[in-house]
Amino acid sequence: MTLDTPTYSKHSTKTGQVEAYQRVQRVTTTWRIIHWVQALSVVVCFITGLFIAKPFIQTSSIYSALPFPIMGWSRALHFYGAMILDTSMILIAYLYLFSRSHRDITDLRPTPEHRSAFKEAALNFITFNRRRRFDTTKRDPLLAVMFVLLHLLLLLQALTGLQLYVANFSDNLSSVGSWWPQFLHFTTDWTATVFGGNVGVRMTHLTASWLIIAWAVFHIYYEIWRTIMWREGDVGIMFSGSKYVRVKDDANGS
Amino acid sequence: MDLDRRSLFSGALRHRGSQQNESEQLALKQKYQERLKEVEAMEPLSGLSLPALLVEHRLSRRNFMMWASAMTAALMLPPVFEKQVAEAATLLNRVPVIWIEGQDCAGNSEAFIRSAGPTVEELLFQTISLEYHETLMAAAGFQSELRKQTAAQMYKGKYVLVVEGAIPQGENGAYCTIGAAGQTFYEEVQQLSAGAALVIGAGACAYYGGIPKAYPNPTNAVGVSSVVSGTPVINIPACPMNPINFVGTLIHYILTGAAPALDSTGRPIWAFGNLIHNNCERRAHFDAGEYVQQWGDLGAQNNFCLYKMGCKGPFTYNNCSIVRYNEGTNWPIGVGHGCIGCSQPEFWDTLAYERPMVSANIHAPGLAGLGIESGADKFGLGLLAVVGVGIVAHAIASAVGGREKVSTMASSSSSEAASGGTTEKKEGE
Repeated sequence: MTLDTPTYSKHSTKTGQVEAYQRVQRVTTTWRIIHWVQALSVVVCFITGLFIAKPFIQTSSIYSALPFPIMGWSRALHFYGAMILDTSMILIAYLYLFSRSHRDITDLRPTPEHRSAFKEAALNFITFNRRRRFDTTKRDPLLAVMFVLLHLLLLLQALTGLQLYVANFSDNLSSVGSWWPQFLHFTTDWTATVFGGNVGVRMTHLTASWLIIAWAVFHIYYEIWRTIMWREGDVGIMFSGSKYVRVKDDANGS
Repeated sequence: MDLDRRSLFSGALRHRGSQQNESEQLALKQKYQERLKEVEAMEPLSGLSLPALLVEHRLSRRNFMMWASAMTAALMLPPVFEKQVAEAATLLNRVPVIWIEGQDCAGNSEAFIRSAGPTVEELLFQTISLEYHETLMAAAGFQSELRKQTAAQMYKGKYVLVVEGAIPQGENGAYCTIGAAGQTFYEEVQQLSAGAALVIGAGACAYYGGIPKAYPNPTNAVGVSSVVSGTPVINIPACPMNPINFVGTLIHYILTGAAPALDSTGRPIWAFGNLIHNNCERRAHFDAGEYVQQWGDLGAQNNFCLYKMGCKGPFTYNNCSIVRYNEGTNWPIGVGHGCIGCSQPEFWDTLAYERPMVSANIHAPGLAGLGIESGADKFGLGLLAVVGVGIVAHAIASAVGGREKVSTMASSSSSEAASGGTTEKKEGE
């Protein structure tokens, strides 16, 4: 992370004390690009998925035939979004394990510091910011665990989604060769066994999508909450890559 | 607790206006019932009744009810009308029909009578009071001519005139003369349509002239609508017309006493309102970007979309992708040949060739018109290749350049970091 020279805000507290803020670089540009690409893909997949699951617009009615194939484009966009999510997940899985700078997998090690920071981050949220005892210049282990959960959900979506996708292919034929449907069958057919056939896989896919959306809602809420409660501009992390920390911070809050 | 949890949401999910639809249906049903009573009071003309014929030909009640429900669906009526459709079918013997034929191949008549066993349509064709039909009647010459004139006088203003074939106008209609008196078909259509309650143009030739009208149209042939004036004309095109659409139109006539809603070229919307393409069994392959590229190729063997082989399903309005032909056995696209658009105006000159239409602006959904699955697969594979190359490059760089030591994790001691002590620089991953 990079800490700039202290910049002082003009904002003063009730007691008239001037607060000093320092800029902290939290994530890289690559990281932010991947974040927004994935976020956009999730949104596209969710919106198109809603229509695919319940196509509420009748496009081939004789009196109001729409020339635009809504279902066709919904499916196309759903698949593009899924392809982007799946490949970017391969990329970040690689960086998670083999990044040249920080390997995020190490964040999950249950060291005493990590456990303590995890507990403090959780307590901070539960006590509505009354207890502030962890370092906000770095990612906290609570966040790390939350993102692992999200990516497990996305992995489940990828596996169940590709299983539903390959069910479309006739006789293992695809435009990129027969290896592709065969590969999909090989890697995802077990989901049909586990979840109970195509219907079970579909229900799992739909349920997981709502869990992901619930996760995203909480994520946005939490980031905004932290931005307002800590007054350190946490939301900025995914826009500018940096946030601010108070130079003279009372650890117990005030 | 005996609670269906879905009922919690049923209020929100229920189709709006369903209450209104139900009352509309009830009113329509009432109207049909009154009309059926009126028709029933009329004297049967043919002396044949459908129930008796069904028994005679060993078609079970179940067969008939299956047919009735299929017909109700084809007419786009809700299932509650099934009983009335069945009743209307038994009342078809009240309708006098005069069937005349001009420039054509008699294919529309053949479509009715050339079935493996007697179908309900064929039996209905028997029960209608067919006063005159050149191909089927026993009488010939002056005798048949007399029959036609007698029927036209007897049922003046009440009979249904079915015109099969195109009407040549060149040389004062001399290209097609009918009967011993040598009357031109053009005159015959004009005379008989004047006294008809309804004119039905059967088949592609009666619709827009069909093949007789194809370039260079030596006989100056036209369709029925161009000749008849003053009497409503319902066109039932296709080559041949589907018997279901003909019988359906008659049943609609029995139920309502009026012509069904027609499109701008006089075709019933219930039968010709949808593109074949929209209900095609191979549509999923079109959307997926899977096409037959050559006769007998892998795509042809797997029933892929025939669009690139010149299928005109995307330009043709008809219901044959749903009701099919020959008792629902099959239809052209089902047996592996593209649609030639035979229910469209002037199809022979504009649609009936085995190439895609040059000016057609039709693309499968998906980027670059690649199709849904096909496009997604190529896109995904490309993306995977890019990511793969990136990962390999990164791995090589890591092997050569080694790692940087940075820590971005938070610890529970906040004061140290917050004081601005750490200034490690984090490079791009």
